Amino acid sequence: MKTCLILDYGVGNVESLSNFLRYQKYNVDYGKSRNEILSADLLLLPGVGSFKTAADHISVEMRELIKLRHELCRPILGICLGLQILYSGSEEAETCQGIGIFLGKVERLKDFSRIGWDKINFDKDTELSGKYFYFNHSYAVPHLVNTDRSYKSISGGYDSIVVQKKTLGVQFHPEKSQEAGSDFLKWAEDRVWSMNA
Amino acid sequence: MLKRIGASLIVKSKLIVNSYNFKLHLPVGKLNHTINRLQELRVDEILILNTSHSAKPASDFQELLKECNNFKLSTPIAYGGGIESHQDANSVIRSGADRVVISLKTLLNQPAFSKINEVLGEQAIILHLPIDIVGDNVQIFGYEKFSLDQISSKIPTNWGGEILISSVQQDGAKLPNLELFDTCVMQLGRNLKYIFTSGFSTSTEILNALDNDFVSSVAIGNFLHRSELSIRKIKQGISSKIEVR
Repeated sequence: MKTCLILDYGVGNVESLSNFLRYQKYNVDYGKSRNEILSADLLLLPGVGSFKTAADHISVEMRELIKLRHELCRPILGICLGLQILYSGSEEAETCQGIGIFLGKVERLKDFSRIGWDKINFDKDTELSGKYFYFNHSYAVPHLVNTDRSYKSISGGYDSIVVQKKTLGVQFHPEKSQEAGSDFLKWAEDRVWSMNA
Repeated sequence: MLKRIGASLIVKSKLIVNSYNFKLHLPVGKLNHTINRLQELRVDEILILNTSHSAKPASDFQELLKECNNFKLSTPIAYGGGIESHQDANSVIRSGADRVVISLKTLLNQPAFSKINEVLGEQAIILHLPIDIVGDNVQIFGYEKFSLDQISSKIPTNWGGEILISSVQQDGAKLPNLELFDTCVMQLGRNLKYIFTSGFSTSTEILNALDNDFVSSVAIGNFLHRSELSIRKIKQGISSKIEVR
């Protein structure tokens, strides 16, 4: 069984994620130590919450550890807020710093919030093409040209999946996307985290 | 983004109940059976409104969710019942909800409302306004001194949360009052997003409600518990007019 460390930064639907991951055959743990952050098979940054609350709970040391994990090509999954916190900053909290793996600033949505189900626009047919995922956000990540891969949602036109090395951020909630969520995790394991760096 | 077809589950004493005019509550069954069934039928979201909550909403919610531990709960859940502070709201989210449903009481406590927005983000909040018609007046159930205009002034401009509009008169009835919903949208603001509930039982009614640009979701209540109806049938019924999942 693989281990997943959920980075608990005070906000986030950690119980939902635990429930989801246990059914996906992960041993779920919470922790913040250097060893725990670097050694887990998967590091998960949860969603639900504001950028400021998350940023306030991530210390400089923890930020550096997450960046180191990224550089070492160890799998990281950021969900919703967990994706946004991987960027340098956000319009939601101008004075707060993100982790800075993706160099860009998270932006307020023009239509204030996107709550509901949407498809992802993949370049070619994948196992996830045509599936609906659950979104719930009022800020979105900017499109960056220097990521390895990124895919937009069909109706919003915002980046909804961003990949750089083995760091994978998603704007939707796989844990709340019913069977599409399980399909996504399998896709991530096969198409992102298992690939040779 | 698809418009959503959700379920509104009223809970009393840990049981799902059919609710009539917010006064009479008749038990239907256990939460876990209903949630499991709705999830299999691909409901888009589930609103759980706990009418017999304590002063500890997260504990109440955890207690209810314990029953759902024997299956993978992967449907968006919004929970309401006694959430009055950011601590309450955050605890409920951490316990497994994706959004919180707050009442007018919490909106009127503007520092608490602002703090919930600040900690969770606007998109994680649903403001529930139960509408009562008394004489010619449209008012909020239990808050007769407040007009919809006054309430509107308390909601931030371009707020990213959603407003859940229910109707005392239509609660448990077999016909929604779409005119009333339109009145609420006009008075509360067209820059907000709405969920309508109370009285929905046919695909046509749901289509008519979703035709309103400001409505992002319809939540079906009592009618879901009747055996002949399923979310799937409702979705099939509207799929020729709008895209459904």
